[in-house]
Amino acid sequence: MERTEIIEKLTAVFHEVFNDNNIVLSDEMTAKDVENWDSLTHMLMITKVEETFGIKFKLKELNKLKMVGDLINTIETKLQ
Amino acid sequence: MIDDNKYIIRKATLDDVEFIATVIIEAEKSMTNNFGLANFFELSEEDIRKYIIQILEEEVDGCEFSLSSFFVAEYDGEPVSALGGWLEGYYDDMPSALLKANLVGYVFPKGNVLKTREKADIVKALQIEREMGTYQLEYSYTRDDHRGHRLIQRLMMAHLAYAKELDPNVKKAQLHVFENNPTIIKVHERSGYHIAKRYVSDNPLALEYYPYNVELLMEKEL
Repeated sequence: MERTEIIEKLTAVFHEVFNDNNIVLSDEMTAKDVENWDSLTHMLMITKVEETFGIKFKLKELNKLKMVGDLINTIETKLQ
Repeated sequence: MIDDNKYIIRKATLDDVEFIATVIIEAEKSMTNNFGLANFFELSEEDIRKYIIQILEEEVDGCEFSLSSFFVAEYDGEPVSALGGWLEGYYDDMPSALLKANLVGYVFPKGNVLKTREKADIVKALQIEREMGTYQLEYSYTRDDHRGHRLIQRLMMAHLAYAKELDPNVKKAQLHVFENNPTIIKVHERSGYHIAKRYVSDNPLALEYYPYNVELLMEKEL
């Protein structure tokens, strides 16, 4: 899957989980930049990402995701 | 007869996992019969215990579900009291809320995680954001037969000494307590904590997931 397609699908997940259709993803974006990004929505977002892309993150991978760019890179790697 | 000199205060180890699971469950209930975590995930207490044990065994540091966050009081070789605490953001600047969410999302059944979506608004008012660089204290419990021996205060002292070891410049310790527990509020006040903020949920459904609808942020300068 191309990176642009990953970002497109990930954007849809963010819009749904954080209930905000105006979110525009960027590599540097963190939880601090998104309203409603708390422990509960984070857990839901990760679960939806796994469902959407048909992947399963390792716990070590999850705990290294500091920015949205890290998430995109990890998805990209797992889909290769 | 309990001899106060026989208590040993130490960090939790993998041998304490079952006891720490009890600590988390009893602290979540906060002296009520309402186990909000089970209601929230639509799981039995037995299932939650099983998943919490799995989470603790993952040994991820830096949040309230980290085994390494707990100090334990041991008596005659058995853990009888424990208190959790960690320096917020100490590990790679990761907020503990996200570490906890990663652990729960990783271990709990996906179907039950997804069911929480509709409850997000109900619990939002009582979700307190933790301040980076502060020492956070969470989850305390003492076995009935060892109450009245100031074990939580001794565990708290161990935590605060540890906080200074991790970061000599740490300025503040914080903890959360529900307002329906005046005894523990007084214990914390006697230890120098004051109420910094009061969080109130007006949603009556919040009581299905929390022991009370008012949660206090208490803090103390270090």
